[in-house]
Amino acid sequence: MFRYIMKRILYMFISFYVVLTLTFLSMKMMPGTPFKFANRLSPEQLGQLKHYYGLDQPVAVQYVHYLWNFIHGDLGGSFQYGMQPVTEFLIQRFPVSFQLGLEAMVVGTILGILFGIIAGLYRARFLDWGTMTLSMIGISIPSFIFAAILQYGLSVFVQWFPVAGWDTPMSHVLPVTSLAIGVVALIAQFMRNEMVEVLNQDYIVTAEAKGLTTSAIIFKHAIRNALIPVVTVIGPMTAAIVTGSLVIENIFTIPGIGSQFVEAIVTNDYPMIMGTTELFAALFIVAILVVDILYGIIDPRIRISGGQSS
Amino acid sequence: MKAKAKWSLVLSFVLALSLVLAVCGGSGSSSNNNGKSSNKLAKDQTLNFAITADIPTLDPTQVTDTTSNNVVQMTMAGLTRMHNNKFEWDMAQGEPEVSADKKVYTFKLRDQNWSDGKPVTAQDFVYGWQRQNDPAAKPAYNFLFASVGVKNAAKIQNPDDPMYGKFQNLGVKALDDKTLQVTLEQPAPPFFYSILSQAQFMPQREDFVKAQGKKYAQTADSLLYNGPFVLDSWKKGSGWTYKKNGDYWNKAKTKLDTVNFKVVKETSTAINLYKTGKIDEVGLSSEYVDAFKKSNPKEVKSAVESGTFFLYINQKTNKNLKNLNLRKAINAAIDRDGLVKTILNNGSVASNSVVPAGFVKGPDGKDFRADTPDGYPAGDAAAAKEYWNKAKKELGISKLELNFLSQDSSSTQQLNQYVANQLKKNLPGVTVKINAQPWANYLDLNQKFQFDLAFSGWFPDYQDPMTYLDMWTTGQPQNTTGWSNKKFDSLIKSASTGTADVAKRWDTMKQAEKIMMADYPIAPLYQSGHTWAEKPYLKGLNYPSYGPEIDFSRAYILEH
Repeated sequence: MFRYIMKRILYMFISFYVVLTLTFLSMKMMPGTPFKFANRLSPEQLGQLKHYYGLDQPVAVQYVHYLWNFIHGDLGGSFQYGMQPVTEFLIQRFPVSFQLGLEAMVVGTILGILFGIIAGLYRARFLDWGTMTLSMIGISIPSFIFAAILQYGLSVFVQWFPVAGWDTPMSHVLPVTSLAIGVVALIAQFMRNEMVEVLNQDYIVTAEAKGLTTSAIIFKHAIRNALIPVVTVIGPMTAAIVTGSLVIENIFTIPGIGSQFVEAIVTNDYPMIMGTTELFAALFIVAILVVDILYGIIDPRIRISGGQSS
Repeated sequence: MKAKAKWSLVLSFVLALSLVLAVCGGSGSSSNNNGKSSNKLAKDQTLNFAITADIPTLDPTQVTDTTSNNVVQMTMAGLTRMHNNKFEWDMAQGEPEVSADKKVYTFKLRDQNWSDGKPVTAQDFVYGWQRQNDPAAKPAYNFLFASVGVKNAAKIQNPDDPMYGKFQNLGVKALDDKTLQVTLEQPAPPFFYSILSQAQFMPQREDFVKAQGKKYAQTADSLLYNGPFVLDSWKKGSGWTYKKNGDYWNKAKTKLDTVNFKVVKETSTAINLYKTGKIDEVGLSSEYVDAFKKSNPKEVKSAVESGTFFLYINQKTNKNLKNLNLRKAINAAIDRDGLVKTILNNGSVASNSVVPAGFVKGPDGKDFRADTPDGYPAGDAAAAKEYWNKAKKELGISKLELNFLSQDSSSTQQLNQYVANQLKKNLPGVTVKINAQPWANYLDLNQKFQFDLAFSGWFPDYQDPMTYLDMWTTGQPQNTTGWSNKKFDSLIKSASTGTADVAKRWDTMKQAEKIMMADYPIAPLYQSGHTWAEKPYLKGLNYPSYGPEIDFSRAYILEH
């Protein structure tokens, strides 16, 4: 197990390096200027600014320079925000997105699994198609529609929740709900299909024949096995959702990292593009590792020992 | 079934109740308006705003945008301050002593402390101005020093000049702690005093800047203030808070104790915050204006700004566009009234000139547009067809495809369609290909002349017609039309250097604009406007055409 994890961590660093390099190169191929007021400056003044920030050097030199600074923990300053350090933005903004995403994931996963189990157990009956219809709606309608409806209905019309913000527990309810609906819907679908499949397996029949109680069969054998594919989805989904939902963050004015990433690309804010991409990449890579480790915990058959993996 | 019936009962009750509340709320606020309490100041002088973006920077040396400029102007005091489109003496006690050749200005400074209790001195101005010209501080907008003609500024900023970077040679000197002497290359242009209110001309204190090092101006408490407000907190990404500066010399005029700015990117969210009373003012984009005028007619306000929006017509790389009749046809083909009324609908006004109306008055006390209030219109759709027929003959063409470069924001997309349709409709045979790009890329394509028509806008750097005119001289980087006119160039040159005779300079600039508009190197479209809703109890907020974008320095809140 230890050797396996060490090997995986080495791969993680390699994939991270590849992502970093590819991002840097493709970013440098992007057309446009990072200087917002380039049209006000003479070519000499513009040349001067490029020189200040080292943008007049060959891409290879800039790349080595960037790597050197990166290794020393310096991600540079944001062009868009008067050279304020990118690391500071990530440290301030990311935890907010992370909290929002995590809350939505926890709520969404629990409810999704629950609904999926119910639908699976009551297959082809009212509860099944009722849940599945709702879940189809949840998957098809984008989260910002729910957000707009919830905001107008519950904050403006009846004023039970604040319109926007991210301070009191009450202010978390609407954004987390809007974001969680999609998660519930998707996980419920997955869980239901897995439950249906698992319940048809021979070992369930065997368990029944052994005389196990229904609850023991469902909890010990059915759910546990049905969870494996669900965990596969949850990993990358968590990574995607905690790195910020641009629309939900904008609608509820949550100071997360979602909008930062988009803004950076549109404005050619090179250091910010690099910083946010690196953060997202790191999260994805870690999430995938965690999922692989979780497999082993859920399904003893996949458990990896040092001897087997080598 | 029973549960459903109960729910619908509750819902209809809630609906009815909220309607009643809405009606009461409406009449309540209007009765307050006419009632006896309407002139009394509220106890709680807190003003809440929503704004679409965070502060890009607080460092006066890095300021390039309106939000940052606004923060600096509300929290710092330069020699002058802009209010209601006029300058007032701020850190300068009053009129400076002017030398006989009108090149040397000696200002007496007022007693005023920085927010850490130490006095603001003439040396702080010298340091602040020098820092703007020190390449090591990476200044972003210091060309204003050259625009106004501060001695040696142009040379210090030119990398090819032997004086490059030697900011000690800048024409600013502290004669003593309270006396500041500014030397110019030539007699001061009329906009000299108003430009001194801008962020670039603020004092900065050397020992503080050096002690903060890289952290300078990165947070609310790593900057010193000497203006009407101090920045109390700055939560990056979510907003910031101003508190009244109790040590400001003119504090009697500041009524607000607290001003909160909340970053809200979605207009619909800002509207909802306004409706629920969480903010006191909200900017209205065109789709909300009509609805608000119906529901809250008394709260909707409008102001004309000084941004001019136009089409660059590229005659450098597109030979057809060298034809004057074709350029006139393009100008005449676009119905500007329709544009401002149906597409923009935000207080913007149609424009047929280079310099906007209501922006600056001349030595005669009259607006620059007083003689030509409608500018230089090329005519209507019928005239467009005539010009187009002439152009077709002269050029020997029957069809023309135009590449229209513009931006890709949602509000600009509608304008792009409108302009393209007008050209297609009124100039038969013309097809328009829209190329909508993000700003960063737009700039690049524009500078490289990769377009036939390009939609652009210009906001003034200083309060003088020259800020709109000198960019069109031959070889200026902003002149991405390829248009060149020797007469125009020489008029601009004489107005730039002949600052001594103010009246003559004024006429020269008018003449220059007339010459330019006879050639139609651009197609002016509109002068920008701003429409917003404000609560009836909020008074004294203004959106001037030059100076702080949102001026709340003298605003106040009535009892409500």
